[in-house]
Amino acid sequence: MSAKRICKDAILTAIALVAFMVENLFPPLLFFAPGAKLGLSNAVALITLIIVGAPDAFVVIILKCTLGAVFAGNPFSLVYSLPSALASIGVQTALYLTLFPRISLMAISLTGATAFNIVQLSIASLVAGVNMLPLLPLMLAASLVAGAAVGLIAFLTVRFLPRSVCVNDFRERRIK
Amino acid sequence: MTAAERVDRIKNGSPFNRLDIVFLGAVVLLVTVTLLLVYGGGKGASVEITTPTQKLTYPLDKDAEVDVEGKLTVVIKDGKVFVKDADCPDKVCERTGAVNKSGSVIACLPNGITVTVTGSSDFAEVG
Repeated sequence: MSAKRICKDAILTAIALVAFMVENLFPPLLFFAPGAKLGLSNAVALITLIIVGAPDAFVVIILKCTLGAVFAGNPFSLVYSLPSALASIGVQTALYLTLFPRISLMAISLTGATAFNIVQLSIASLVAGVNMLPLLPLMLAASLVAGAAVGLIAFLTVRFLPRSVCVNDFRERRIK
Repeated sequence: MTAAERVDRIKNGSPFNRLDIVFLGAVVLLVTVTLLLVYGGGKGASVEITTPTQKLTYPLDKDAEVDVEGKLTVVIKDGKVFVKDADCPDKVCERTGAVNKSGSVIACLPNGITVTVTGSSDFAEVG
């Protein structure tokens, strides 16, 4: 693990956290699905997966969820957010590593958002002890929009970032 | 395919791909199926309020105002049910609005309280 890689992970975690916190300040984007939001921090996770690596994306997600729950003042929300975020990035990693050139980042992000919502509502049902799945169609419809938008954001970010930032060269350079 | 090659594919490729339509279609199908499963049902007959300690049931056709453990107020009016005052910070339950379809849920996760519309009114008339 080079210092460069750790730095990249740290910067991306910071960006994900800021995106998460700022997003929490806005009112819900869609009136019919309270709690639905764009999930800009998911775009950061997807970008991490592309420009740093798969393990790094998981690290960024775990740190973002843990720190985000602490900063938002609701550590209990970790019960919902962490498993769903891990499921989401897991699905996206699998798709990116297997199907990627054939499906776009938007399809990958869309599937990740869908997985996120299914897992989150299932856990909420288990924790609250009542069936929350009736909310699923609303959340899925919202994830359709949000997932595509996040995919597009990730695509544009990687496209316009300098190639030297996007491609890793983690060989240690020793000064002789 | 290496990570660098993937990055180059993003940099030089289009944001869409032909196979995307399969994934888009799958999610749209999922939305439609779940939508039909949840909201295909008719109007509900009664309202079930579940808290961590108790379970309360009210008829949907009789106007009422219920104070649930001092945490939120559930209002039943004109055959619909909604949450008026919640002491939770996110107010998700208030924003859900009025519901009357069987299977609809208003949830207040911070307090662990849910309001569920149950039973189709057709069955209620028979029973």
